[in-house]
Amino acid sequence: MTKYGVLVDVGKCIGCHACTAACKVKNDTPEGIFWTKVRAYERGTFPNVQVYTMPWGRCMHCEHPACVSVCTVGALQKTPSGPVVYDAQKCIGCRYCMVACPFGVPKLNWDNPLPLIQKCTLCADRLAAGLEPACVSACPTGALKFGDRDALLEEARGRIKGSSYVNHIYGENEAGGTSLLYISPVPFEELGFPMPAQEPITRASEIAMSITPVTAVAAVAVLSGLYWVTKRRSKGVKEE
Amino acid sequence: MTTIALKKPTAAGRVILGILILLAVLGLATGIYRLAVGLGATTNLSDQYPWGLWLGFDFALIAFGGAAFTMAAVVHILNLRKYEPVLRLAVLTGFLSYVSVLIILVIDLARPDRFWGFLVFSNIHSPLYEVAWCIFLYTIVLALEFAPLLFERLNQPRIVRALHAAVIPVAIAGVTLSTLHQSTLGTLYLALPERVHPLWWSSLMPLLFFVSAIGLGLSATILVTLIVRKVVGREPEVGVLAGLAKASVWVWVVYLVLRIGDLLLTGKAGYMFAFDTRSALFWIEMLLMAIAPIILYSMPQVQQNKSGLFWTSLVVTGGLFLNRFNTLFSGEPVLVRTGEVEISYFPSWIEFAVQIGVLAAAALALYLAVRFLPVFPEAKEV
Repeated sequence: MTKYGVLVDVGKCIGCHACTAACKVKNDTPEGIFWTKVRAYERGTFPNVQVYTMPWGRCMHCEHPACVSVCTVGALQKTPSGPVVYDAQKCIGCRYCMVACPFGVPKLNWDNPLPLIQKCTLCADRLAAGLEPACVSACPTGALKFGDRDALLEEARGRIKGSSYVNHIYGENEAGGTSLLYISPVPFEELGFPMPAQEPITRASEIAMSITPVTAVAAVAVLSGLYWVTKRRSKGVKEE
Repeated sequence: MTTIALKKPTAAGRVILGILILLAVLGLATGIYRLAVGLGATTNLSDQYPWGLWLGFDFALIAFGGAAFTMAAVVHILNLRKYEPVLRLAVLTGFLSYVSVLIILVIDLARPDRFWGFLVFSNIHSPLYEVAWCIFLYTIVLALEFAPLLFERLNQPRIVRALHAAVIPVAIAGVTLSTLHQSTLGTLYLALPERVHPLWWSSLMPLLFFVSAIGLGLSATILVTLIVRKVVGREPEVGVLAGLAKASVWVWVVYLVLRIGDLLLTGKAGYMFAFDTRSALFWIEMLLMAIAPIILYSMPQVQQNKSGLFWTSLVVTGGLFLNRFNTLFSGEPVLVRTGEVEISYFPSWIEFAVQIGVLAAAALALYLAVRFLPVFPEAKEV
């Protein structure tokens, strides 16, 4: 099965916001809430200023999503084809996903008395119909490119080679790898990208959770044993 | 029927009760308002600070409620009957703490209308899923441990006998459930390595949270026993409390060794002596929560002295509350760290009102329970 990804080329983005508008229209997101934005970064001082724009604040659709791991009710799920989807019917609003995401992606429409988590779903319904995500379709310069993740990685390496681009594909290994892949002529830290560890975020908690059943059984066994021993000892004292 | 000849509330006592009622009513009103208009309108929570005062207090209160499982283990599992006189009050403390936690948890959920979700939907990888289930089941256990007080008062000896017959399995279930969720509150933070400051994030967090819950459980028992005994005008059994104090010294020694040892072995000594706000908070927390009880509870002058026991227990409680809040707030949200968003968090007055209101209601419930239920084993002598 194809594992999809999106290649984001910072050098190709012209800051037209077509992606922002397309996403807003397609998903009808609440007022003030955007599932994808555009960020502008200015480098240098006047008159020698260079402006870079890039699609920003989007769900990275991680390979090992922290949000999926911690979601209390499993409302967030990683699909085999790549997108991390959100079941709005299950969500109880615990907001664990919001503190867990190493990219600070999930938002909440706080103004609504009954809010829901807000994040890009990679237009999973459009993908099912054989279409590309709305943002990718709207992008006039090809700064957003949709396709097979491995193929996109290859393409990214090709674009970097021999160019002035930073020799790093952001998302190849960040947080254990993400479906969104960024390449850029400017260092990612300078652009203000979060720099999470290059491994799945929730490894430690998942290991701890996996020993819960054993811990429960061991606790019952130890406690029962302690009770039996101390009961016998006190009975022994009484009988003397 | 056994009733206790309590001191009638003094004028000062009546004023305090009046204030507690007022605070509880204010909490109820603001809580209902929050449910009506939503979190955005009533709290200062934000996308960068989605967890705030309510959850911080909840995590600390759960440790305070550890008084129940600690004393249940001491009396029922380890069969140390000497400590039986303080067991009922410890169970009551636990029961009221957990009910308070549940109320605040539901109010804190962005979708309180779906609070039952964890019963129907699952995620076995999620520490919060396990915590939700354990708290749910353990509150039922606490109700069963509390029930004899109620049914003794209602003069139902057969129900009381049935409850007593089940006391050991119920105690084992309670201590098991507590072991699970007290440690899983630490596991919760294992999933947040980018969010928690290095001085607090540790692969030992589950163990540290569990050990500190036992430590606070012992101090909470001492604290509540002293306060309640003072209010009803009866002498506390200082010898029993001294025993709890002495035992907790060892708990805090274990905690300190684990915590400092882990920091040293993982190369974080630099953070401890960075002379910044975080290191200051760290040392204040260590001093109040662990170092103070190790020194003070070891002293016979403190062990045998009501005032010494009271103040030391209060200090430990403050230290642990600081620890739980530090763990939650010590790190920076990722978008604040990258400079994209400039925002901080301080609770709104409504957040304070709801929290204080629930605590006031719990204090009132404690007072009523002590007044009308056989909390003290020597109630029969009146």
